[in-house]
Amino acid sequence: MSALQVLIGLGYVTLVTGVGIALWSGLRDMPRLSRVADVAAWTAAIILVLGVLLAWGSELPALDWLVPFIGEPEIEGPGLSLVLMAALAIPVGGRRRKPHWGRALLYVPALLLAAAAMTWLLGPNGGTANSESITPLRFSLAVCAGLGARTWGQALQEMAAGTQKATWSGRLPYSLLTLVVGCAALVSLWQRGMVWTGVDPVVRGGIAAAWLAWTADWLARNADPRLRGTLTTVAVLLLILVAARGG
Amino acid sequence: MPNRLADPWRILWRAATSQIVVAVLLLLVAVSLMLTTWIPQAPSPEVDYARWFSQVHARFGGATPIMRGVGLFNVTGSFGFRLLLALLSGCLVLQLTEGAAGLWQGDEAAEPEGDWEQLSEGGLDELLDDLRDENYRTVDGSSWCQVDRWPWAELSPLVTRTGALVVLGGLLLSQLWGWQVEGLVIQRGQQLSLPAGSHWVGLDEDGAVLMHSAGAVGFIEREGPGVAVRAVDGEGETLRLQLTAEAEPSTELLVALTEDRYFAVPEADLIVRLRPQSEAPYSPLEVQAYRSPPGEIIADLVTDDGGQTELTMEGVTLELWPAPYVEVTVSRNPGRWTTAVGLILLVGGILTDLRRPGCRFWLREREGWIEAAGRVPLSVFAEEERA
Repeated sequence: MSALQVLIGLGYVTLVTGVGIALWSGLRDMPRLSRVADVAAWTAAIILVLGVLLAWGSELPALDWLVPFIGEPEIEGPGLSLVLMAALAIPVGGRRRKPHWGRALLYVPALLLAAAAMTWLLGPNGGTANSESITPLRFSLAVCAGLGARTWGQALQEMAAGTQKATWSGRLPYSLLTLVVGCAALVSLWQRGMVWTGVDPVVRGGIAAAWLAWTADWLARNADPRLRGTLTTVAVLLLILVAARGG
Repeated sequence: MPNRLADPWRILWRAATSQIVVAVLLLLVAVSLMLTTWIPQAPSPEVDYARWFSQVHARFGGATPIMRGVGLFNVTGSFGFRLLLALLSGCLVLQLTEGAAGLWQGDEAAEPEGDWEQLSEGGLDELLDDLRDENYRTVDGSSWCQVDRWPWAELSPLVTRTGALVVLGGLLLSQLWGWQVEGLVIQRGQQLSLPAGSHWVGLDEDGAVLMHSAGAVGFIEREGPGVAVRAVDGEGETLRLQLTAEAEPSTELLVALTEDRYFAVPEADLIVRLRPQSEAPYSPLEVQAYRSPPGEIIADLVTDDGGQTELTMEGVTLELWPAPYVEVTVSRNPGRWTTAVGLILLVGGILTDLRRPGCRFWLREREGWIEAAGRVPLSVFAEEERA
């Protein structure tokens, strides 16, 4: 087990602790404990981001000196993308509200992603080196999916609270995704003369479908919160699948 | 009133210009595209169609003919998918028309829509001042005040829809008159005619610049090893070389080493086998020469990087020098610039809309309360909560 796997495992355990505390503080109506949950979640986010950046960064020639300390980066492909998504899915900041068990739902997407990443890392493919390296498209998709998962957490929380209006916007992940998809399409058009050629058909169809689902979610932003929540869920899951598959 | 509600044209117009209908259409297109990621899509008939079909049949068994009949192996070319795009285009055109009319008439205050709801206690003038500071426009009505972001907030959805329609138009042009040829292998100084019309693609004499006919776009997918070969006999006479039995003999051969390749020197009864040691463009080569007949090996060596070598056997000298090949994809897309302009409009419109989403609501003061009608942005609620 490499130092990176230990670091990512530590991040996961910290996140689980944070979710546990958030749930407990909500059920027992303890606002101070809710802040402890926030701190635990932020710590988990920092550890996970650090782990991902070290793993990806140590492949750069300028950061060769890191390798003796952290070992050869043996985690690649979906594993690291999932960890980055989990780190970005952890909500940081935001408006402080009265403790409620539903607050724990904010962390559910991050927890699920971190669990998927841990399963991958501890599975048969987790410890083996993979030739797939990080590409700008893969990295951008992972960032979009992570931020999208954070929006999903907000949607889950509001649906549990039974709000009358859907107040989660998903503006940031949708803006980023639109920029990424638009730029990739323009580059493809300029280089190859066609939109989205030269990309794995599975990734191509997945990215287009995920962007369309996010667009549908944005168009239906004034719809009933449950309908909007379902749309957000579909859009986020699609984006996570595509980002895990890689660009 | 009931007559107006029952008017089918009005119902149709409202449905077609509804955001929910467009959202549903987008979701259906998304589902169709997701199908293409799960179900293997048919390649063009000339590209190993039979092998693809046998693989698909092995995977889907008896369901294959039904799936083919429904068009699941060619989702983006199916009638259903095109109908979806046509419906989407129609909705976008109607929304564009309605949006343009809204932009034109937006100068004046409109009648309040929806029910009046109490927003907060306090002074309306202060709230309106705050809203003006946040770049909202306020227009006084008879007993209320209309708040909106005209004209910019109305303009960005128009730009988005125009962009989407232009992209769809560009894709249609590409579908109707565009083409793409993949997997073309060329070496320096070679020029290939393309199946479509008078188009061609080639590499210059140095093998550094990809050239193509006007209107076509070439892209180098990968590079690989290749050599140029010449043979001379003991008297310095150039011998002719032949790559295949059907090919015309020539005094200089260009051999793209996509795999092990053979060529013959008929005048010297020699067969030569070239085997690249890797897929790198300047890979070393294994060169084996056979006497034909009887097929006995008379030379076997591994060259330096790139294949540069001079090999003499039985009075014949073979000269090899590097000529890496490139695998090229060539396309012609009459909708290229249309699509690019559409994409820029679409992305620009969406980002502007996300930054300043369009809204229109009405405010009035009644018995010390501020009342609101229409879609009041959440930021206004938050501001009132803070106050």
